[in-house]
Amino acid sequence: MSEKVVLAPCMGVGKVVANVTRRAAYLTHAACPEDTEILSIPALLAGSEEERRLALEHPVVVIEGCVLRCASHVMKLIGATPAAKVEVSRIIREKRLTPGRTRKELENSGKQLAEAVAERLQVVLADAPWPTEVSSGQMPTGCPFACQCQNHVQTEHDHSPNSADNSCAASVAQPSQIQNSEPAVTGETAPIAKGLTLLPCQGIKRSGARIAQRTAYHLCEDQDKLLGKSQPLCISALAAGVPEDVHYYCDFPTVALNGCPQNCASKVAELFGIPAVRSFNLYEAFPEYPCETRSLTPDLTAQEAEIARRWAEQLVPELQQLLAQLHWQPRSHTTHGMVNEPAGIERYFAYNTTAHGYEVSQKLRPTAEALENPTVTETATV
Amino acid sequence: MSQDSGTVTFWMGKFAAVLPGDRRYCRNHMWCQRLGEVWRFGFTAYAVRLMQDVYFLDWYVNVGDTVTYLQLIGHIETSKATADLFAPMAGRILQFNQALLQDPSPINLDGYGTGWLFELAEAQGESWSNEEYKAYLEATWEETQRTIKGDINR
Repeated sequence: MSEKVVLAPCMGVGKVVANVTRRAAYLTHAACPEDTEILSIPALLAGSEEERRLALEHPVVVIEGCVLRCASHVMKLIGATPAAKVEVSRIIREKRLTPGRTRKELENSGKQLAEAVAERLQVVLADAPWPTEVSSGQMPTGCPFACQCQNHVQTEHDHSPNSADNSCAASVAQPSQIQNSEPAVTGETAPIAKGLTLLPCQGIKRSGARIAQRTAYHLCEDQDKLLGKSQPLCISALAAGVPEDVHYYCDFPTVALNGCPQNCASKVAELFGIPAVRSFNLYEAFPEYPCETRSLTPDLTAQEAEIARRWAEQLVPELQQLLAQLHWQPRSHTTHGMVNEPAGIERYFAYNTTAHGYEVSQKLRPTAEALENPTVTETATV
Repeated sequence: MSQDSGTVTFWMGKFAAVLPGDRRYCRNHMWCQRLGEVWRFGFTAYAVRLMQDVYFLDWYVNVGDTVTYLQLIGHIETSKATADLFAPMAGRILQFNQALLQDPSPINLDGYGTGWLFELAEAQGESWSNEEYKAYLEATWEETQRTIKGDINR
């Protein structure tokens, strides 16, 4: 293998199978640390240049948790083309293994499934290189997505109620103005919010991101009655335009849980026009904790799990107060042109099944030679 | 599949379960559509929404078998449930959708089209219009919600 292969698990939080993709990526990277790197989709969508270069300049293997194929959609959104795709649903059928029902910590069946996915990823890596070329690496400017729209948001934007600055998509999309430090009020006539959209950082490489995700599970699974209809929602599904997730983001106020000072959850919310009414930051709640530490163990460390539990306990009264006071009306958002089309994304990337139980993309991208000489005809075979 | 003017929608909270008017509906949440002398069956959008991602689909009967109404004919495992499948009508099994045995995802992606389940000849049994099926769903929705509550956050 001549260059690092980037593993891009779907990294959702809603379905158990999304955590299977994370675990499979961890296992594969642990087995091939020199040959692989893991892509953090939340950081990518928050505008991280480092993650974008991983996606655009290296062969990417997407690991799709379910038929919605969010990871592939995200690649399209940023203008990258995956080299190969592993679908967990295929391995579920082949191995007769199910992901189980607990997403906070995978059951044994979920762990076995993750191991089977990791084995398949090893097969994929052994087959490298694939017929497609890597992306050109051209970095878009302005809007971080391939649409190059003008809806990107300045993350330092003033969302205070009296701000005259309405230049960003967030303030256009949102029917009211929100403060980040006070319970948001959308007007006396708006009803009290019945629930919250919890948007935890869903990163995969930093310890704080892992803690934020676990904290969201604690809040929504252990405090279900307290938090009403609140759900931890998926950044990948939002970017992939999954209707159900998008509706939820529009219908309930977003509360961001940031795992580290990168503030990816808050940034993603703004970039998609649904700025958080409140952002809670792990690095402020536990300033002594090294939240930016790289952490790639398949299971959370005991310390990570303990901090997640304690942070959730701290957040409960604050979220309870927020829910009691927050007036809210449904809002709109921007998908940057992305529409979730599970079958369409297959055609878009021209995925073709290999004999080894995964798919490769046959979508041709311009090679350096072709860019210099437009008459060069490109071909790809599988 | 294009939605004709007879399509009705049953709202499962925020989720729209579309019920096309070009077919009939059975009590066990399957649709059926007459294709000449053959009846084709599949899961309604309501059923697919409750089941979510389909993992496995197994049939316990074979092509050519005659089945009786509510006879156990198969089994399905999804991300939300495992369930036995029962014959929605009496009849003779003409064929199963073989593609689903390799990849059941069309059930989730195109339940009224390529996600069809099986075909019956000489089908006999009760079926409803989409309006009647919608009324049945409305009458049972409260209880259904109570049943699934507690599993909603998984």
